[in-house]
Amino acid sequence: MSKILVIEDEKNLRQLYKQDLELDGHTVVTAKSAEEGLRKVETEAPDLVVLDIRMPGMDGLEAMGRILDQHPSVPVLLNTAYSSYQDSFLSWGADAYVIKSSDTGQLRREVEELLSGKRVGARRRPGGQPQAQS
Amino acid sequence: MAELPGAAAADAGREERVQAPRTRFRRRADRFFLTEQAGRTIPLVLTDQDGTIRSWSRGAADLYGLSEAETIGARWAAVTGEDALPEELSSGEVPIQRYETVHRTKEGELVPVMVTRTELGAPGEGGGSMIMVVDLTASKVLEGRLRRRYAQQTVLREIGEALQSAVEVDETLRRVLVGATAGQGLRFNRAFLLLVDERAGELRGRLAIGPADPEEANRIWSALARTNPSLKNLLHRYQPVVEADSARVNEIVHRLAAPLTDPDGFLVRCMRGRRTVQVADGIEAGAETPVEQSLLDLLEVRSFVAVPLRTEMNPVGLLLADNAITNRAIEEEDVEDLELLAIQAGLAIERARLIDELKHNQEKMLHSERLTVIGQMAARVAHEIRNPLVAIGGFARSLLRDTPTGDAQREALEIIAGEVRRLETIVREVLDFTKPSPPELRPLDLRRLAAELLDLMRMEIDEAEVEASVEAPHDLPPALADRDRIFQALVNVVRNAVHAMPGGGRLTLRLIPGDDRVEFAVEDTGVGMPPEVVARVGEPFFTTKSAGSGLGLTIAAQIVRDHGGEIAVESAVGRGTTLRIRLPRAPS
Repeated sequence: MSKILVIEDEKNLRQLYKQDLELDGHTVVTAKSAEEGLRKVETEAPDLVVLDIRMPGMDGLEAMGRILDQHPSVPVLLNTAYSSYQDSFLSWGADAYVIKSSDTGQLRREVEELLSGKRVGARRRPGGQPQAQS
Repeated sequence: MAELPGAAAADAGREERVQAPRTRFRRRADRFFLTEQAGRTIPLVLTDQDGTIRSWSRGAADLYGLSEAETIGARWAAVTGEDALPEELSSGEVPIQRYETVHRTKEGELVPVMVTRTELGAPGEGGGSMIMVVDLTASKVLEGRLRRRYAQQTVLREIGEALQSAVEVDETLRRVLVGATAGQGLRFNRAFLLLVDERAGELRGRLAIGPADPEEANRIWSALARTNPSLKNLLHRYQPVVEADSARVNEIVHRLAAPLTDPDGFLVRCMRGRRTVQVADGIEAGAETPVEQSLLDLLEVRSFVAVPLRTEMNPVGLLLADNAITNRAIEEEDVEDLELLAIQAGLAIERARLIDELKHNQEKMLHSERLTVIGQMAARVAHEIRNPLVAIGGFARSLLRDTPTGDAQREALEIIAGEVRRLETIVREVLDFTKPSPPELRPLDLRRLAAELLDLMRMEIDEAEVEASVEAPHDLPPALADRDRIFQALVNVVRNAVHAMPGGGRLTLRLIPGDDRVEFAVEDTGVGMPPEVVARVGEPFFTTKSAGSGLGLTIAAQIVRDHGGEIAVESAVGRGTTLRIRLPRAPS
């Protein structure tokens, strides 16, 4: 059983993710802003962070930068409404990237894979330096 | 002659009247200058009261070609052809008279003269006149030349003004050609304009004016003679006639093209030579080499003038002019005028081209800005809709999970989940539509790209006092890449390199061919980075700069990876950094 931090500004979505991820047997804590999320990364020590990109105040990408800076070993899963090219390169530092969907199946599968260590995000790809370092 | 298709017919008569005496004057002028130095005496004549010649000086004999024996006793008016003087002049009441007139010589030549006539005594006192004659031939010729110069200046000024007021390239070209061919302009029969096309790497024929043959020339020139438009009118409104009547020469001009890399061809050599080249009977003046037969055949003429068009900095094109219809010899003055026209034409064409380019870029920018705004709006709306949809569909699904099979509510929940899925697909399509299209992979000349890159960033590079150069083998194989995206990636990389050299330095873009890759290395002599920083280069938001998003290299890396390429960094503190981008080679 793992602890997952969901950072999402929309109340209904927070509730949906919490409910569905708990179905899979995880403990889910939520934060309604990037700022709150950064605090909870420290206090809750989650095993994985699910992060929305577009939020009022600090956005998810900036939050991701800070989380990766402080806790490079915590996998970050970006969960966003965008599927555009710009996001795909911005999100490249993340371990997984899921487009928001009413079908939470993909989100849950990605969470399982990251937690089980089956898949390593681009950020931690072995031998990734200097080639493709980035 | 006149060549716009012009005014020739009308001019023919005028030419006859004006030029015949002029040539005669000129012949006389030569003789005048020759004999002047020989200490010739002043033409001096004495007549008695009724105009009978009493004395005939040596000078008079020289001027009129008549000896003393032939003139003594003859009447002054009969000998010189001078009209009878008006009463007040011949009455002797005015003691000294001076007037200009035209006298005839023995040969029948007309001589412009200044006559000074002094009455020697009152009428009835057995007086007469002393007549001193000054030959004005030389000064008349000079005056004629000055007048012509002045007229040509007026013409060139008028053409210049018309060129200044033309905004579009085609209109400018048309005015140059009308100026070169109009009867009140430079009076060539035909004129051809060739312009440099940088993109195609060619000097290429663009527009021409002139009749196809003598019949067409007659038709056009007499039509113009009837309406007799002013030069200004022609310059501003000649368009329809040009297009209808210059079909043949335009056919010719569109077949004139030469690669700029061919410096031996006549056309490109002329343009680069920066000086006028006159070709007479197929031979280039001063060079004694025959011009390519193919060019003479195409132009259907063996004598013509070629004048380069240019700005101070750049060659713009070439202007060819000839008298293919009338075969009138091309005089030195014609060439001088054409050169003056060419100076104005070069500047005007370049200016019109720049305006064109500016307009084009403005439109492109407006267009893409508008698309961007529409795209952003659509993306925003889609984004706003997606979150509620996720909640609706998500909870419908979770309710569905908890509803036993066979429950009447299952169907309703399935409908909700299904419809939400449909809406999500639409939203995704909108968002996908607004994202950039997939990379267009084409063979790409990285040498050229490197040069364009330095061109674009010239100001930034110069400001940073960085010396930039491209080093590449001549046989560099092309890469397979999307030009615009790779360009964007390289701009980011080069900008980084420039920023790494705050005190100036050297930037080298080195292109290295590999087995299945082409490497684009960006080398700087900047501050360099320690290994722990190198390890983090390209991480999103990672930056050592106080300004900047920290995304430049992330974007570059992503673009390179989208191409199936690699990006690598080598750096040493204090020595500099080399960033290597390796792109797939285009299949040969």
